[in-house]
Amino acid sequence: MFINYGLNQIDLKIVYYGPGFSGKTTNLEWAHAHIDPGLRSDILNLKTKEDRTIFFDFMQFEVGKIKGLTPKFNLYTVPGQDIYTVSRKIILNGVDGIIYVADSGAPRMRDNLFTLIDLVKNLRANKHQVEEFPIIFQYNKRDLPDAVPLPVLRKTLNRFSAPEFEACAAKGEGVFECLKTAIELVVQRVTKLV
Amino acid sequence: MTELLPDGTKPISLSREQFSAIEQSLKNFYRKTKCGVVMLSDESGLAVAQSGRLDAAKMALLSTLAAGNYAATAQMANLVSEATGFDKQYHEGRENSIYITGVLQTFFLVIVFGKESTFAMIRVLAEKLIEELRTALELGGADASGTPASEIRMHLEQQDFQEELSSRLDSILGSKGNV
Repeated sequence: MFINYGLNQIDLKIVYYGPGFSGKTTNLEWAHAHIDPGLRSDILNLKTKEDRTIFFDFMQFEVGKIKGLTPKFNLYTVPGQDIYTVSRKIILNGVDGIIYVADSGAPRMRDNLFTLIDLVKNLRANKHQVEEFPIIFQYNKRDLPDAVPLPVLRKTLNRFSAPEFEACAAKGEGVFECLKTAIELVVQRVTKLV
Repeated sequence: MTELLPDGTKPISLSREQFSAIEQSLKNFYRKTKCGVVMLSDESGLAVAQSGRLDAAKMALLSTLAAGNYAATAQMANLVSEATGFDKQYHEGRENSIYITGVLQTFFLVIVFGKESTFAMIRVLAEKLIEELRTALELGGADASGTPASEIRMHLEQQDFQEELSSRLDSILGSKGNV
């Protein structure tokens, strides 16, 4: 979060977190493709030759001036692969809210859990109270034939009773609902902090 | 004192006075050096203030990339036990070059310059600019003209602010319930 009184502008940072291949970049790409180009920046993709996120993806969007204030939302993804632990820590710098993108596929439950532990560790290292921090859970790829039942995902991952959504990000289902809820939670938190 | 985030590492706000002083310093630097872009960014990638020939959207992208680069290079410095954190970086190109240098602990400058400027001049004048920016940033986050955080809080707490935000998001993003 950063408030510029000179411009009456508030910049907020929301990060898509989750294991590799869970659909973080797909979320951002869908949002980029469906938000009015006049309200958003280009999308930045820092990818390997194999189309894997190597550092982060980024897009900024705004909703115009409200009651004299201009909120701007900076959306990032983290690289999900285990080897990019340091990159994830760097991207969490200054984060205001998290959308945790879990892969509903049965074989990915271990990865979902380990990446969540990694997130909690990183947030705590930055002195955030995880239980009070804006986190949204998105259970992505609900159309997979081996998708884990929702109650199992909820019990395994959402230990904070955070807002949660089912999604098929590749089809755009659940993408905007998660983003909107994340923004609303982030603004509520900012209101308490300033 | 500047207000800090709960983790104690990053200023939460910039007053009108600070912003005005920073903008003026950047404009002076831009005019003197004939550089393409001079931008003050924070470590999370936010473009705080800038002067130059790039639109706001491209400035945001440049700032984000520079922050990633700056942070990654600091990690490299850490790996090879370099105490400076490679605080100054120079990327030399045929037509344009980029100079990145730290300002206090949580900000850095990004200067893009072409053949109209020399690296030596950029580097010397950047040191003077850094001093001016340090002075401005250390002024404090509350606005001396009477616009402290409470005014922003007052806006945010208004029910119609939250409702208006929700309504704008619905129109931009659409709305459905959660599970």
